[in-house]
Amino acid sequence: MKIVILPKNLNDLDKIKADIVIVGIDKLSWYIPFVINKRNFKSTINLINKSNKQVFIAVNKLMTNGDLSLLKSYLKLINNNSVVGILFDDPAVYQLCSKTDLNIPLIHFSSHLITNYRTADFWLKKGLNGVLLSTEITLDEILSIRSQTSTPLLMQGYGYLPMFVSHRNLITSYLKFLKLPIKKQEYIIEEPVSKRKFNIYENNKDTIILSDYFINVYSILPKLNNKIDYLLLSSLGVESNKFKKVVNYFSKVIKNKEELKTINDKIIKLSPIKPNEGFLFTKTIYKVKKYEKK
Amino acid sequence: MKRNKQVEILAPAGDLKKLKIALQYGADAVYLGGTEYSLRANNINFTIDEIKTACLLAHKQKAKVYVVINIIFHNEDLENIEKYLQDLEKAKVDAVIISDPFLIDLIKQKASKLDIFLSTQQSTLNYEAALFWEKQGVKRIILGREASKKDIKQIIKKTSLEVEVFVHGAMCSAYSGRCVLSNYLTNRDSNRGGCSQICRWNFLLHNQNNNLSKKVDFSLAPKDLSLINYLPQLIKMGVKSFKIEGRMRSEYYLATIVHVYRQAVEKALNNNQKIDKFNLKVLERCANREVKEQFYKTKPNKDTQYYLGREEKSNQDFLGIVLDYDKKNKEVVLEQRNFFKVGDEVEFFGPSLKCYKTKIEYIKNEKHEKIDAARHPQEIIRLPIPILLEKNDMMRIRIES
Repeated sequence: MKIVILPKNLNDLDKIKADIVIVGIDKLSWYIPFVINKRNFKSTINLINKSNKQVFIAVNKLMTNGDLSLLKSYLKLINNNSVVGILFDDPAVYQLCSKTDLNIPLIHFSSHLITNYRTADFWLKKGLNGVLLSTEITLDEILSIRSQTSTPLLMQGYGYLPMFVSHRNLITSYLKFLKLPIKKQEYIIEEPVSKRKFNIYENNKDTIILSDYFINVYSILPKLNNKIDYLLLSSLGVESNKFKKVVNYFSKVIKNKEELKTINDKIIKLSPIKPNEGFLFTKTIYKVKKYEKK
Repeated sequence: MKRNKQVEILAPAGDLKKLKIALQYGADAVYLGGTEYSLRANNINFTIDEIKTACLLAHKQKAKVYVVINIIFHNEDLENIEKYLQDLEKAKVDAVIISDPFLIDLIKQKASKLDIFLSTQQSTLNYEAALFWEKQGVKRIILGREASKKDIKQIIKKTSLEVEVFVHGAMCSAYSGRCVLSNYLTNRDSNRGGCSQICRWNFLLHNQNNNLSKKVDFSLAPKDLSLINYLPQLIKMGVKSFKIEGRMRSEYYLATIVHVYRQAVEKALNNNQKIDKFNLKVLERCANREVKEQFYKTKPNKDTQYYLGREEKSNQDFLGIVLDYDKKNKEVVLEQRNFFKVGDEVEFFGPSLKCYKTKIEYIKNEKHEKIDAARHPQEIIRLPIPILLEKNDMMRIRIES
């Protein structure tokens, strides 16, 4: 299992024991804490490579026609630099890579759409090198998918889980409605009955809401090892120095196969809210009824 | 009902009764969900036998039937999907509307007579993505509701796909398929038909120091969509299908919207660009939310969102549905839906009737006794009406032009 990190910045990268770093592209990525642009593209890739880590580039937002020229220009740039994978949700990325014979591994990277092995196989047949598992499926479902597909699997193992993306500037519109100044700062929405709170932010033309579930799969790592190919650890909403420590704890267990009982407590203390296991042990309801064979 | 081959009015059918209403009022095609694999798990939906009946009814009227299989499948949902597809093919369903891409190859292998339409759940908004789906064997693409006029135009220009566009109804606040608020707040799986519409809830917005929602709650809720004013443009651009949202809406809503859009499409096809103001008024009254053009011309802003609570009006315009017409006594036999009384100004509309305005002179109950008002839902009553009315014509309160 490779450790893939989504850091907020590249400080002390050589001290973080991860295999791959995910970097987003300004205006073409969602849920990615560290985004780059054309000016710092090459230097960033070099810096990551120098720290003995590989680079995944996430161009994972849904695109309109207006985004395509920017996407095309970045695909060329990616092709000319040492990038080991492109993460996408919009099939336009696949289409453009095929058209231009771009030979960089592609990974399907939609937060909620890979929930069964046949869809994973669909993308494998298209030549993809991996799929991100939905953050709302159970551990049993993950293991069942694993047993029925050879598609390399990615899953999020640490961090706030993604919950909502809208193509509306919901904060700006609301503040304009209230005639309040629009400032770039941290916002939270609160559901007033349950008092649950969620991070909300605008990402260029979109609005993103993160869940109040903060996943930590440390305690089930033995079950995931050899089943999951890439474990994602996200720093969204986590202090950089604490995130570094968390990654290194994960690495210790995964690389050295050590199981240190005290580590989980340390990870919990380093997290911004109390972590849980997301939907790994919680089945969602309102499923489809079984279609009976007659 | 005249059916048009150039463009299609595609109406939702929540059940067989609504399907008949949609076809009668002018839909060229209907979409419906089976009891399995559809994103409206709470709806009654159609058994396979009902789907067969739906196809027979629709095809007799030269209309088409599309079945939605738009959940995102989990492993446990896969078991009988092949058999289901084959049953749909046998039922002579025209097309299936799918979200999960693994279905494409399966349909080609196991039920190849079914046309494949790609659901709006894939949120396709650009021509390169559309080209990808075309290559996979998709015949029609249902664009994301975020598609602008420019996006629609380019996708049509650069692909050979049939393009279907949502023209009327509710909007999701999020990109379709990319919202799991329901999973986290109510444990109901939004991508398998359990969406509990959290985007219609009220929230408080905080910055680091303050609650900014002391006077007005924060909301994600968008107003509804209507592109009725742009039908001539959309036809000119080459949009194949105009989709009306709302498998769970009432028969009155369905009849009204299809009726109005049918007239508007016919006008547009006859190069008449003028929008019927009376029909706009009818649309405005029929919906329980305000309508906006949303993403069509520009990005939505504060005016396309709801902030002051739900602001959703309950609509009591629908007064009754015609069951029969007594030619001898020139009385219409009506099933009541909302309260009305003698002296009320009302109007009738129907598949062959644009609008007939009248005043209620008397009301008789089932025993032919005169009563002063129709108070009870589904009560059978009689009214004197001099013109011949047809079954499923509807009576509503009089809407001023």
